[in-house]
Amino acid sequence: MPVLVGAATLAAVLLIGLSPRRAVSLPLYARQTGQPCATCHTAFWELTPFGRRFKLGGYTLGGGDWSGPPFAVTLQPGFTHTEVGQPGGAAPHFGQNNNITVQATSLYTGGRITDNLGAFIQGTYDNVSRRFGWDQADIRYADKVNVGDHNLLWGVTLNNNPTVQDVWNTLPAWRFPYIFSGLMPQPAASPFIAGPFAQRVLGLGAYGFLDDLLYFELSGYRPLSTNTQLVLGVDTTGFSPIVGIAPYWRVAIEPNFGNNSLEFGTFGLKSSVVPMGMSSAGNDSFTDIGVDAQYQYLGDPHTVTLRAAWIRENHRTGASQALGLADNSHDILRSLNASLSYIYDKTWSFTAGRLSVGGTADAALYGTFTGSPNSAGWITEIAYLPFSYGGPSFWPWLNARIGVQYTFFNKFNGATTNFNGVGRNAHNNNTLFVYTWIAF
Amino acid sequence: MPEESRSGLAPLSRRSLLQRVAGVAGAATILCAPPSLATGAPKISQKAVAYQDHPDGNKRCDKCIQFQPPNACKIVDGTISPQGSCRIFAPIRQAVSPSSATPRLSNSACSRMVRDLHDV
Repeated sequence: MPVLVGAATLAAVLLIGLSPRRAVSLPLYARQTGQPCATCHTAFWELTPFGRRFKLGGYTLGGGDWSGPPFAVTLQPGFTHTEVGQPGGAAPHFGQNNNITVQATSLYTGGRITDNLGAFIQGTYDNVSRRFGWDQADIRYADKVNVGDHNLLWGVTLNNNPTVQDVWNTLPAWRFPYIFSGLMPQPAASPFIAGPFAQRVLGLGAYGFLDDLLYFELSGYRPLSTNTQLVLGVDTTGFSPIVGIAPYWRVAIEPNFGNNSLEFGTFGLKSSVVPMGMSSAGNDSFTDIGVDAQYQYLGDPHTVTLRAAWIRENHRTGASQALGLADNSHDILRSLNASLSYIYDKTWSFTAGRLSVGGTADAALYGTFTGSPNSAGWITEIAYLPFSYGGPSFWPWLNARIGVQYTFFNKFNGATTNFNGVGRNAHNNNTLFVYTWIAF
Repeated sequence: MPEESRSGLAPLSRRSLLQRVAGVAGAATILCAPPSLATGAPKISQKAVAYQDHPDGNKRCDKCIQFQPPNACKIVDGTISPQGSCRIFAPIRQAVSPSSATPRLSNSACSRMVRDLHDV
């Protein structure tokens, strides 16, 4: 039955695209710029050099003649199969295995508000957590100035997730996999910069892009109050609020030559936090420092992208230890994310990626049976983007990514076998995810 | 225990609902205003789109929808040669009768869509 439903979904999407039409990506930006998908994306969400500058320019660039309201919608119907079912269900309301769901429905708005002010604002109904809330948000003011012989694109960003403002597909908010199953088992540990603050903070930062080569940014993040988070539909469970202002920094260099685009950079986030919101024992603190690199070959019809980022987290957990939330007073966590994509004719995307996280054992902090945070695995994906050269006649801005993704775990929460103490092995969490990602 | 609590979903009070509605309405008021077609937005550098001052086969700037005669582009910075070309070339379509287009689109969007349909 699940296979039949998945095949029917695939067939339906193929059928509505009988004749090739104009390509799009996030359709509200395609309508604004008059440009096809492939201008900003190699295969969405991965950005091209043009897409990066469109974002750095505050999402304000025009060129199209659309005069309607700036909205777009995405849907993510998918089928999730794990090698062995998850006892108790993959999530509340879901079965142990072979689940089909439209896991996320998002509404986007933004684009150019004025010549220099623009936005990317996403609201999502998450059908796994059965929750509607704000998702990624990034509002920018940007302009260009000439300083002597130098050109500076500068801007200010107001956003709700450290790294959501970044323009390379190496940092956590926009890295591969661009889509994954919300019903897939997830490792217990991740650095603070890789998600725990998403949608729970507000950050204000200033950035510059000098001579189309050197990018630098300094931002500061503050936590949203619990009431504000609740109003915005955020799950506040387990939140460790930032104390004061958490600085975020980013420096990157992007040389472009011919069809080649390189990037090397560093980034980081540092803060004191109140562990789980319990202030009686004082504060913990952490420093995340990362390095990243990306290479893109942007030929026609061949595109190749290599992405890698490595993060080291230095976590002072004295307050957590006093509260019984950590065994150690100091932990180290390291994270690696690397992937290689080959994209043919903007239509077929083949990607292989390596994910790993590891560090000092701390059973109370990570909640793992082994005490270890170590997890590692591979992700492979084949995706078909049928509308890269055009949507169907009734809606030329329709876009879709139809993919088959397989995640293979070498290690999960500290062990290859029996990682949870009741006989579950890491490879039991291997996950097949068949999805259609529709945008219009 | 209600499902909403088990899943961590916040109870939606009338006050919260009003706050959400007010926030959405405010954002919509700002964002739904028709975007201006001003030219002040930061353009993209020539290097980022691999601009060259000679054609790439049939791809020539004066055949691109973004070209602004005599020597500019709506989205790429600097002086642009009509004989130039770049990575984001988007060809001008021949306009045809918009009668086949969906009535839900604006006239300008409709015209663009019809042009798009005849591109391939």
